[in-house]
Amino acid sequence: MKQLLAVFRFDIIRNMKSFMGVYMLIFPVILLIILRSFLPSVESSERLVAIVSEGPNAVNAEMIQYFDEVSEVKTYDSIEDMENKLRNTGTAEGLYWDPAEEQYVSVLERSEEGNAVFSFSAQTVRRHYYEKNYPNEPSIINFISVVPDELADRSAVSPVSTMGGAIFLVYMMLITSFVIGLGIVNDKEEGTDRAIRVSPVSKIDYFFGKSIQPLLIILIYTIISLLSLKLLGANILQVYLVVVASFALTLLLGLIIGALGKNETEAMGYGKALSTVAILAILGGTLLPDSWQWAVWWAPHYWVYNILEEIFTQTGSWVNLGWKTAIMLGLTGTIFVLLRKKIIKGLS
Amino acid sequence: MNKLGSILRKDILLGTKNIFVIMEVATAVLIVLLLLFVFPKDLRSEPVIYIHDSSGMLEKTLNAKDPEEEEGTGYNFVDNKEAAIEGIVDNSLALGLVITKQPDAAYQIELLKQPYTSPNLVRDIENEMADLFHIITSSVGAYSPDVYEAVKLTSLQSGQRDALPFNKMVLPPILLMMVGILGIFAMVSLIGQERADLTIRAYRVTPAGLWQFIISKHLTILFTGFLSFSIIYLPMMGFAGYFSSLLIIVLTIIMGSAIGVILGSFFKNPMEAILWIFILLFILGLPAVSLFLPTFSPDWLKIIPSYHTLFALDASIFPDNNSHIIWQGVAVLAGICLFLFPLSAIIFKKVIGRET
Repeated sequence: MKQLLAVFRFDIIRNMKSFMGVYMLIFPVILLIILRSFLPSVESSERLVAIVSEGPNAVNAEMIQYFDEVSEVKTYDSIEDMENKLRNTGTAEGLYWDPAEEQYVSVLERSEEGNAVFSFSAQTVRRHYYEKNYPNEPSIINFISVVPDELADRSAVSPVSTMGGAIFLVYMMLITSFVIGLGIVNDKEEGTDRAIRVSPVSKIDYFFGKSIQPLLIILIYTIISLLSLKLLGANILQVYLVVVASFALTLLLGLIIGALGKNETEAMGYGKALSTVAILAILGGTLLPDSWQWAVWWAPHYWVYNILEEIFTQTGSWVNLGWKTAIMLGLTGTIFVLLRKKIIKGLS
Repeated sequence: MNKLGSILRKDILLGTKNIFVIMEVATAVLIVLLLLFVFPKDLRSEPVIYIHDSSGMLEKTLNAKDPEEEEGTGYNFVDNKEAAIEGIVDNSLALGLVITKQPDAAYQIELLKQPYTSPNLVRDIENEMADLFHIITSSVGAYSPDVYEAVKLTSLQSGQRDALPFNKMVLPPILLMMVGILGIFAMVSLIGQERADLTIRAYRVTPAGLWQFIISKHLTILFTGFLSFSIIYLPMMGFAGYFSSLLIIVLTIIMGSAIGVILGSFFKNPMEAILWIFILLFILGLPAVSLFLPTFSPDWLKIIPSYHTLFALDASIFPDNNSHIIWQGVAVLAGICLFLFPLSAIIFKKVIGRET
């Protein structure tokens, strides 16, 4: 234990000297600031309507105001400008006034053949016209919205935030693996590993000593991320159990990067390859429907992401957490067993 | 030119010996195998709205009583309200609608929402339902002809776009993360390695200039990127859109490599640079959200260069009267490269000059 703490102290001092320690403290804050500013804009994204507001085809101010209340409105000087917006990236609908026919024209990027009625802007124009010209007509629908009692205990945080939180923690794991791995390679290049061989520090002390600082950073930033992403409704004990259990995966990737990489170029190569595959699995986990999630079951990072998302959406149970964590640890163990000889050789 | 050729040979040999090139190629092979044989092609969406319609009005209109017809449409008619609730309990992204006819001829529509469902979405659904029921009802409350005449519908293109195969749909972000940003990782580690091995100092006393040193690194990375790109792209897409996609990815690699040169100049080793690399990767990955969620496309997102990579690649892979997006992307990326490439070389020359 004494040796282990000595390695930890040595690492802290060295990291502070090279600003690495400061970077490690600042960097998650920067990531969280980016996420915190990005997620609300995704959550609040509304339908975009490109409206002609100048010249003979201008939509009147009252109608623009009406659209502004139910969508995001961008105004353009001409039909051509509006159509250019529609042809460009992103999804939008267009609207202009046809003075010859004395009616509005709703423009879609694409439309099914035969559709002459259904578009958001056509619907909004009709609603406005109907409200204005038939104010005394009774409403055809009585609309209410309710959250069923069965869902009352679920999180009110949007899936965008829960996904963001899970992705942040998995991303932190990947970075921490790099930091551990590159730290080992750095020691190899600077000859620190040889000095350690003649010291009382064992390989295990050395390796775990190097992992304490990243673990502490992940633990601290887990709670900070829950606070800043408004995920405190999640079961914090479950979150920490997953984070601590998944640190085994972080350590393994750090070991692979550090042991297999003979120098920093090789280590970066291994790290990039591993993180690309992990990101692919997360991409699959995010985009694939439930019935196709098996396509990424092979990736331990997917399981970490999946469990965290369940905890953040408050749909996870202890049983689910147990077996999913077991699978993640099982996969991590399998990878370790497969690469054990190479890792031991690389660290020797 | 001979000097450049010699350095390039050295860099490619070193890259291969250091297994960086081999790892890139091996990862590309693994990814293409996953995309071809594990990731699905046809992805039928799961129901997102569970509807119990005791009035039969909506069900009749959508003509979707046959469950096979419902598959992939995003809605699913169920026999009672409990089944609709069960559906949205199981699928936390789904909503429910319970429609009943009332004695006064109006329709009661109850939206079963998730706790997180935004007021904007509720409002949109209410408006949509009100408009729809005015249209589909044949009795009291039906729109009169003048309401329909208030607006007409046109479209720039007719017919819906064919459903994109899932494994191809994810190609743009994969190419960006796997190949496009290769330069950031590679350049930082290559420069760091040369610095650690003191070969930069040795190089300063040779007749070759620093620009040859840097260009050789760029060419090595481009060569590796070209290999990885072709390994992923060709089995997936063949030569359809190959050259325009290659052009986009080459420009993205150059941009990434130039950023890598700047990071490699300021940070003595990859360890010090890695956190900044990850911040950059995170920022460069953000526009992928817009690719999969097209309603989210704010103008500020276009400041991130990878936005243009992703959308230009998407337009190139899935041509749809959208070739202008490819060329817009190429123009933006080329402009960034023209700015970053010389800037990175100047910074590198100054920093390395001071060090040696």
